[in-house]
Amino acid sequence: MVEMSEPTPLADAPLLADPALRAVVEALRAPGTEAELVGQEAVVAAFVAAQNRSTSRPTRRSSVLSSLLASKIAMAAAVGAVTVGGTAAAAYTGTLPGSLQGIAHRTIGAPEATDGKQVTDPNERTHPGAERSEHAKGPDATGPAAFGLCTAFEHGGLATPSTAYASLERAAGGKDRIKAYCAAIRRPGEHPTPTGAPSDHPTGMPTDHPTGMPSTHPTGMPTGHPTGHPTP
Amino acid sequence: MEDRASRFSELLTAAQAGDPDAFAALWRGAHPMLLRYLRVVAGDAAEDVASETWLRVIGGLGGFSGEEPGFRAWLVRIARNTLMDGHRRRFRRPETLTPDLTRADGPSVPDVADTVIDRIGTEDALRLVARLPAEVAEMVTLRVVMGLEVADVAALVGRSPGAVRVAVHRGLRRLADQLRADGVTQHGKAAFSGRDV
Repeated sequence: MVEMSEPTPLADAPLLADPALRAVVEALRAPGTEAELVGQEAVVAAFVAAQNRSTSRPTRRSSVLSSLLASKIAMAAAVGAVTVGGTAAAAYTGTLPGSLQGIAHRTIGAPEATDGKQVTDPNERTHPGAERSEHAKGPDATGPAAFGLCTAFEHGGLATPSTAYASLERAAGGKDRIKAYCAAIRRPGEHPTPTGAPSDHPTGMPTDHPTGMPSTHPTGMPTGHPTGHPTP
Repeated sequence: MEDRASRFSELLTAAQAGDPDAFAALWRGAHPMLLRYLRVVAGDAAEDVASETWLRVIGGLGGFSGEEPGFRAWLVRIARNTLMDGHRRRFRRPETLTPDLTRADGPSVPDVADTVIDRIGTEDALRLVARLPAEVAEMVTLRVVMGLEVADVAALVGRSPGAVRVAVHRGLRRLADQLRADGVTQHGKAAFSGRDV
């Protein structure tokens, strides 16, 4: 099996007889270093997220931009999973690198980047085990965080032992109900379906508009008419 | 090279079917060279542009068909577009690209001839290439680092194949001259390795 990281042959190199130049060319074409290959996990996570998206919604052709953004969420997911154990948790707690946090903010409604500062208790990051404890709070999946949590969940970026997952499970009322719960969650900024307004709101004029005179119109003369003549 | 070609189409087909391992193998095969190319043409923005490029590749992989050389050319096309889109194309600043290692007069580099020839790293080699005029540097990198065919380089940079051939040849010649001017000559010990002196 041929490993694709071997350099392709240089077709014509008449100058390579010069050993100094040959050394330079060999250095230029040296196999990839560890430092150069450091991003593999993130890019493969983005690839997987893109696959999941295209198989779950085969009829929907997303634009290049939207798929790009979704992939960036996956990138964010890969980064977040390492530090916090839950994608959305990372996005929501602002532990992502600035640029990714910005994307998460725009796309899944996470808090804005805070110039490298974390918006949460740093203990959550340094002690991943603590998130299982009762003190770990995590984002409130019944509030505005729901969309982001669901996005991460649907993209497979939500680790089951994470605080974020637990929060989502609580909000949905059980593991089995997360999917249904998320299906009902709307993207932030979309007009929410009004739940309190009557569905049979009048759209035209009232049909029972009075057409005649009031039926209670007085028909007789006032009964309290003065009966006596004024005295001059 | 047939092995390599069939291995590539195997990986491409698998990656297009959604196999993450196959995609990872394609990435490993192309990313280091893409990154080096971008470091020459985009400087500090190289990492960002490379990430963005791969996201676009993921989005468009299903629509790609071709062999490995075509894949690399496609990659570069996307990378160039990404660079343009981001308005991140920057003029390379020579002062940041001057390789310290080749400074023959530096007291810390007593025997530059041996040092450079034996131990020149990829970093230093890229800095040397980046000292070439921008257009030439790009063509040399595409040809030498990315391993693109002359015709592909020509199509990418909007020159004739003949012009690319000449530019790359001159660029390499100039690199060799620079190395000589920096004190690196064929008297270095690598020049004699394997020979009876």
